[in-house]
Amino acid sequence: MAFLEIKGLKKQFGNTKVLHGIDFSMEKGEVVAVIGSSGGGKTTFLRCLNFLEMANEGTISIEDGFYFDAGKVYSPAEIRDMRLKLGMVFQSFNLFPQYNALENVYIPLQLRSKEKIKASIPFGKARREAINAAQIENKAKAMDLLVDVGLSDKAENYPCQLSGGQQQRVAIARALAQEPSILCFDEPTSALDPELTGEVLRVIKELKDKGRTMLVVTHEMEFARNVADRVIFFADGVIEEQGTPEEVFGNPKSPKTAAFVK
Amino acid sequence: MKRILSMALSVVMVLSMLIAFSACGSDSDWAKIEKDGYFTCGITVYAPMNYFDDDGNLVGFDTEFAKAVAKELGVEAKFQVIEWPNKYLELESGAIDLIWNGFTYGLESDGVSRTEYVDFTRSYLENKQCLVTKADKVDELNDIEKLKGLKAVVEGGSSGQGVANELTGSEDNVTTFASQAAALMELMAGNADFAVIDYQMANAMVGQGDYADLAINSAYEPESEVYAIGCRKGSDLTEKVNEAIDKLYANGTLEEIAAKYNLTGSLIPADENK
Amino acid sequence: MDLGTITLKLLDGFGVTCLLFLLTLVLSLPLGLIISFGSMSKFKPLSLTVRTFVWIIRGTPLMLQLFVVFYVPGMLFDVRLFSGDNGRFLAALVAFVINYACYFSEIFRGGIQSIPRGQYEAAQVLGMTSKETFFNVILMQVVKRILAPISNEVITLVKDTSLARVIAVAEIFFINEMDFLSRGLVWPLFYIAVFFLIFVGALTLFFGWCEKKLSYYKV
Repeated sequence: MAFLEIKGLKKQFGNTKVLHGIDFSMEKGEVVAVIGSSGGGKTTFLRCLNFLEMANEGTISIEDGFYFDAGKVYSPAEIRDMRLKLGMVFQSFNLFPQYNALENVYIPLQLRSKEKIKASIPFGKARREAINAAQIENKAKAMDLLVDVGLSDKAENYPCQLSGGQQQRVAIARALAQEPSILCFDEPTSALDPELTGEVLRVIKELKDKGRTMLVVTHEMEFARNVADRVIFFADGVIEEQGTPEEVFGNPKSPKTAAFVK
Repeated sequence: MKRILSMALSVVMVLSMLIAFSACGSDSDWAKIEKDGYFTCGITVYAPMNYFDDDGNLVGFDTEFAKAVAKELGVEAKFQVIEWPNKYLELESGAIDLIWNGFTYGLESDGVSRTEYVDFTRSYLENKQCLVTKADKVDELNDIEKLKGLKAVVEGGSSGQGVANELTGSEDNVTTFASQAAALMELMAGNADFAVIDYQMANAMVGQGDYADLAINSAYEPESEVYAIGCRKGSDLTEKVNEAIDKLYANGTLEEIAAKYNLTGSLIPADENK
Repeated sequence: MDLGTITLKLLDGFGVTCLLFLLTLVLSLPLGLIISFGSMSKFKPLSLTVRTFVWIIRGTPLMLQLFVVFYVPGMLFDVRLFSGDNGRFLAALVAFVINYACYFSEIFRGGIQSIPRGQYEAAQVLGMTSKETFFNVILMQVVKRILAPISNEVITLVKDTSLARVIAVAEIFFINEMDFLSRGLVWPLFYIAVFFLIFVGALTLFFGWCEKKLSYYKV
């Protein structure tokens, strides 16, 4: 079985079918670029993986993680656990404006830690101490991640004081903090000025070098060509074509793909 | 400060009250007053009926009268300053038990008898409506014909309102206020040509102190009217108060109070009140 | 009557005004938040009921609501809901709290609905529960967005308290009419204006300070 395995994933909004049964798999450490014109279903595909949309049919499984079957009913807590296996970086960063860079990264972590501590330690001083210890630990972890994305000097800055590229790098650090099995990107550079896309793509490339498994929806053909191990082309709710960058860009089999990559 | 504190505390009370809001039986008025130990008189503030002396104590003929009646009945009298136009609402909702404030036995300004709204007790004091103008206008406005078309101010829902409607020739010329005092204020400020208020009030307040610029204008010669106390329709309190009034006449208390406020001449003799 | 006596009397009335203001604020803000959740509920019957209620309260004069709260229970049901010395104050408080909670609820609703979806989604993918999302992510952004309209309402409330006089609550204007205006003293009215100016001035400074405190981030 592959690291991530998706079978027959279908999604429709009202009467509009957006995904017509997607079969897809990827291996650990693989970087897959998802390309295709707007409305092709690639963003919906990504959102279904993160359970921001619930698929109508199909299964999703991660080797070391979970098995999701759209036919079953899951509790919000179960959905939440599954979600954490898949990190998500948004097109518009979605940093929390009232928190500085460091807080953006560690507060979600701290909330998880608190939840666990509260479940195991009932009351009193021991609980408070455990929470404090977790806070120190989470802050340190967050700081390390900011160092990784090259923003150690911006830890105290608020999102409104950061450039778009810097904000997106904080968002990447924030997603990494959850230690997801797979990191998803939804057009991570589309909201950026051209001169700022480079720094974000560089970070993604560095993550690849460290062996991260990543699924990147992108319009950056250069990036897809140079960084991705595999490219999949979405059109009209199906995977029209997939293969290595050389195959998809150099020798597309489908006329739709050919028209798109030209 | 004490008042504020007690208000804060009673917030807690109302919450519990809202919860415990049970159908608290329909006791008769008297039964409830006996249980609570007090009745509440709705008043407005003016001399000589109910007003504050220089030390801030509520005094006046009606104030002492009500206290004397309460004493006869073995309960306490409380006084609540109300907006006069709301008097029937206050009475009907039970917020007050009696309208006791130089309340004229007679008609509302729309010609409806006040007996439609309240049960009157025995009457106790003579009154008439009284024309008040600026002191320097008394000579000029010496005929009621000259009042036609002028601007008048009165207390809303008072006996004077009907008189003012007649004198000015149209209710459009009459502006109403929440109390007689407020109406006099308007007159002082020059926003109107005359006011129609109770003679008893005018006699006690006009031409002196803060109202020195005003004067009673005798161009208007009113019919005499009487004061009585207004009770809720069908209330058993009416009878109780009447009994007490009889006793206060008999033992001379009422005469004493009247003398104290220079109202001896207006007090209706015991055998003439109805 | 000397200035001291008048000041003391007016302060007494202003105490009632301030208490009515403070209690209304303290009770109507959380109630308003609850009502806003009701009006945003996905359960149609609830949101429809709540919205109708808000429409009625916002659509009728506060003065009428004061009358209804204080007089109607006694007139129709023979129930004295607000008896006792502080009954009038409590009735006014109930009317004010309900009225202001409805206004606040609409401000909250606007504020909450103006927060971009992305904020909720980001919180979701980071594993926050909806409660955590609201209190850790959304609330502070809402607060910043609604600070200006809320401060407007709050300042209006200071002055609206004087409406309580229609059911004879002994707030500052009622005291003034009872004790001074009835004797022909007009100038205390202007003196009262000073009380209000100082109070509203203090509130303005407070909200300015809040705004400054929250200026470190943009939403």
